[in-house]
Amino acid sequence: MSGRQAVLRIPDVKPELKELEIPREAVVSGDHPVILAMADGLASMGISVTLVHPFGEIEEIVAPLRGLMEADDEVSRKYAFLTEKVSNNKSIKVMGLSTLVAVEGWWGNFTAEILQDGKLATVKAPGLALAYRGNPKVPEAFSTDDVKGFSEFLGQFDFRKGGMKKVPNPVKRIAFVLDVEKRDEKWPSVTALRFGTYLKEFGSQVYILCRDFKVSVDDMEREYRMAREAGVMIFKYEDLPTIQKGGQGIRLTFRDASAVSREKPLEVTLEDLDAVVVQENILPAEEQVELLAQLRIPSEGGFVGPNNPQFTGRTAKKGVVVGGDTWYPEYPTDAMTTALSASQELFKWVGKGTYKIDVERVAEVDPSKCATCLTCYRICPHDSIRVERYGERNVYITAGAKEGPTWEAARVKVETCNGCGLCASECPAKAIQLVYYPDMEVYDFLEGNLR
Amino acid sequence: MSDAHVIVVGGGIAGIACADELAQAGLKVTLIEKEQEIGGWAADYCCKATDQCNRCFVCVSDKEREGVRATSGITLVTGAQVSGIEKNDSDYAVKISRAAGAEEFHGDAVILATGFTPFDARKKGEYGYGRYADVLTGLDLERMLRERGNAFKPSNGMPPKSVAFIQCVGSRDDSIGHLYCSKACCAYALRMARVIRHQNPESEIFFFYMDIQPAGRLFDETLKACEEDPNFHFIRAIPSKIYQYTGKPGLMMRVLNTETGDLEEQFFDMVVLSIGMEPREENAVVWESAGLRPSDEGFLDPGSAEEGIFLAGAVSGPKDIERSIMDARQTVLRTLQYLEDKS
Amino acid sequence: MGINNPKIVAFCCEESGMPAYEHALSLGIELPEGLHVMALPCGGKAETGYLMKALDNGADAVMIFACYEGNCKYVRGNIRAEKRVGYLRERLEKIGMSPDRIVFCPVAPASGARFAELVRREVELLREG
Ligand SMILES: Cc1cc2nc3c(=O)[nH]c(=O)nc-3n(C[C@H](O)[C@H](O)[C@H](O)COP(=O)(O)OP(=O)(O)OC[C@H]3O[C@@H](n4cnc5c(N)ncnc54)[C@H](O)[C@@H]3O)c2cc1C
Ligand code: SF4
Ligand code: SF4
Ligand code: SF4
Ligand code: SF4
Repeated sequence: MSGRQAVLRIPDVKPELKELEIPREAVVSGDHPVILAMADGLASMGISVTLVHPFGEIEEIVAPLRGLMEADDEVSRKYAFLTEKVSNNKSIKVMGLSTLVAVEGWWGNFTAEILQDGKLATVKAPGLALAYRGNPKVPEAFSTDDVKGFSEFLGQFDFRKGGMKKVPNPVKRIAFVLDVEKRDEKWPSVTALRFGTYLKEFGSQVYILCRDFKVSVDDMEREYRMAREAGVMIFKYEDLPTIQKGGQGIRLTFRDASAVSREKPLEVTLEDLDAVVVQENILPAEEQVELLAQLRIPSEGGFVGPNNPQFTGRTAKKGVVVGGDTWYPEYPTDAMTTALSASQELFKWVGKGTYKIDVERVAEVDPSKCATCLTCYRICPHDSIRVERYGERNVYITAGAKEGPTWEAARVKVETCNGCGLCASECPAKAIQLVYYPDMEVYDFLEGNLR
Repeated sequence: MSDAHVIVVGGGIAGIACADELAQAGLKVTLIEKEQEIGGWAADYCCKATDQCNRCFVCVSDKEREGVRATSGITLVTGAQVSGIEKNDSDYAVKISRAAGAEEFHGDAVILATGFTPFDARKKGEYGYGRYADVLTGLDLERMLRERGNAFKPSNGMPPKSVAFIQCVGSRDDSIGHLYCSKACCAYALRMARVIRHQNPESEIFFFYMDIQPAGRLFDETLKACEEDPNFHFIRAIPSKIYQYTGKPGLMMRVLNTETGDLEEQFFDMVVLSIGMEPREENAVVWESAGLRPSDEGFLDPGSAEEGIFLAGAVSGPKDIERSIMDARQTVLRTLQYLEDKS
Repeated sequence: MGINNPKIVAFCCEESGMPAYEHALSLGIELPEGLHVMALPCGGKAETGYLMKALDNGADAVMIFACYEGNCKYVRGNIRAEKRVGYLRERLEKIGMSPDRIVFCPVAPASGARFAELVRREVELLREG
């Protein structure tokens, strides 16, 4: 297809390839159970993985899921299997009781400082996978002593004790309150339904209060139907339920919004509840916020950004992928898909051994013009430009510099530069050009076609 | 492993994403597509941005498609319908039929990414799809916005003022045996409704639904924007019938008045049926030849796949584009593991 | 004092503007001959120098077709371009020129119809003067 317009395309320069050795290694760090999926996914492809986690034993990584595992066989099966696999895999170097405290570098050459037993160890790795657990916080409106968040509530259960076949069911009447502040997370609906159905089997009366029940997870519509048939009561509210002490327990009052009018609302009061479980807001883990800042990865509200559709499961920084709550809070089985897809993404960057990169499709700094103003460093979206020392050959004198000549100038990392040209268009000294598309091309076109 | 050859069946976004990942990992890939062009359904969808991107993922699919077309490591076979898969030891023979005759491709592993069929709205006769010009499906509206850029009433070409969206058409509906949620339709409907509102400040949206399903991160932003819009009305009830009075323009529905609780007759300029997804029945012979069985929802059960055969995308159950891409990547990881173990 | 066959320079981001231009052509929409289409790797590469050079060389208007906010492959290139355009429009106004001679237009790859519509509107605006 061609129009009648004069068109200037980006020149089709022949790529000039530079061969790069990237060792087949990666560091997987975090305390979210999906680190197991990431470590296993990468290790089974022949990548040497260092797994950094804060627990004493590998089994402890799945501890947050033990309550849920009572009720959900699939979660139980998948995560138990992974724990086995990772424990037995000799090519995964497991560093327990450790935290990743500092990290810097680029794709192919990250330096991770790991604190273990009060000692700092330095690990070099070409790729990083991060998956932290967020901090669950019960929303203001429900922060009373009577209310528990999901994680605290499920923490009382542990499938290893044999479940309620062995231990008596501690709850008689329970209400789950979902969608309190965040409405775009599906895990609370799935957890409440699966765990609620399980409790129901052991004699609890279960209520689920939500704005919208999230059935958009595999099999949920059927389970939703079955749960209702089994007697789990599901209500939809518009205004937040009010909570009081009442009767022999807690009382929740709200209006049921499913297909009734605002004028004749159906007031519902649930009395004598012995447990109210509320969907927490998942706040970003502190380590995660710290690491993202150190890596200069854009973040939004402490979670990895940008929320750009093109960045699904990865970051703007080449060689760093994320999963778990660092990406977005998800139900454990969904989170596993996300984590595996992130591992595949990382595999592409650390799996091949040697890479051919095009050193034409990048920007280049003319060090003799650079005023080391750091503009480019600040704006490069991929953290691909740093001020470095150049050799004697490029000595220049900064206008008005107090200390005479310096040997510093900006330098583009060709390994990670995507050739977007943002640095070139903002450099006040006009010291940067895109190698494959210099300004002259644009100016020539404008002069040749407009005049 | 790197000289292994993988055959990807189906050139929708899931198949495209698989082919792209495999080629980047250095493998030989053949991508077989029934239609003349790759892209699947998503190639017909529109951008759903208002003042800013609303994360519908359609452009991601567009870009992936162009990327795969330009990748030299991928052999594209289009206009070729796969009719069966045969396994002999570790060789997989994928049989295709095309205009030029039958052919066979051989590979070390097969990924099936044959997707879904949009629900045929005619099966819900009460909505009069096909009878009333201004009753559209979500797919029709996607195509209209992609090709023409703005929404208009097919009957007279004018921009619609009051638009009703009816959710879950063909999904979450036991009467037609579809006891599943299609997962993408709440999101696409809300986003397209916002586009209509953005284009025409006088328009009004009536959104009939059961439960709104989020899609991906930051969906709350979309939802809040709709709720704060005074011309956007959410009604938690699904209308049962659309009708017209002879000689009068417009579409009528009996709708619940949420203020009074009464059923009232209301008039709309245009109705959009948010259709969901169905399994592709025409591929039943292919499934059988590969030993694949349907899951409880009627899509394919990944657990039933024979060794060396993998599923990606909506073929194993409804997924939106983002989830299809993630599923494709996960499938590629599994495929690579399988090939690694074998070599 | 309108212009009849205006010269318009369209700086198009490779990720969105260029595919949108091509999409417009594939839909069979006629675009004016005075349109000069230039691909850039990112809308953010449309630097002040380029825009001024285009006007200097006789362009009646400059349009920047970049990605929607929240969808830039380079995170914030589109926002930078938009800010730059906002600043230049103010400057144009100060020196007594019409700010509409520089416009920022977010598009997606499949926005062929929108691309054509935006060009049509700009042509009309220039014609009305
Ligand atoms: C109306 C509608 C609107 C939607 N809008 C959005 C949206 O805005 N955002 C979003 O994220 N999701 C949206 N979705 C969901 C989206 O369509 C799916 O996520 C996506 O298309 C799934 O891709 P796929 O590759 O799995 O399937 P498909 O797109 O169905 O691709 C399958 C491909 O396989 C080919 N094929 C099938 N059988 C054979 C065979 N036997 N031999 C060879 N080739 C074969 C087909 O021709 C097709 O090209 C929407 C869905 C619908 C119904
Ligand atoms: S923006 Fe230009 S002058 Fe400033 S540090 Fe970078 S290259 Fe040097
Ligand atoms: S061209 Fe883009 S990616 Fe490369 S250094 Fe400059 S700003 Fe960074
Ligand atoms: S993700 Fe969707 S809304 Fe955003 S720019 Fe792409 S096509 Fe448009
Ligand atoms: S996504 Fe929404 S419209 Fe589609 S089936 Fe699910 S609930 Fe219904």
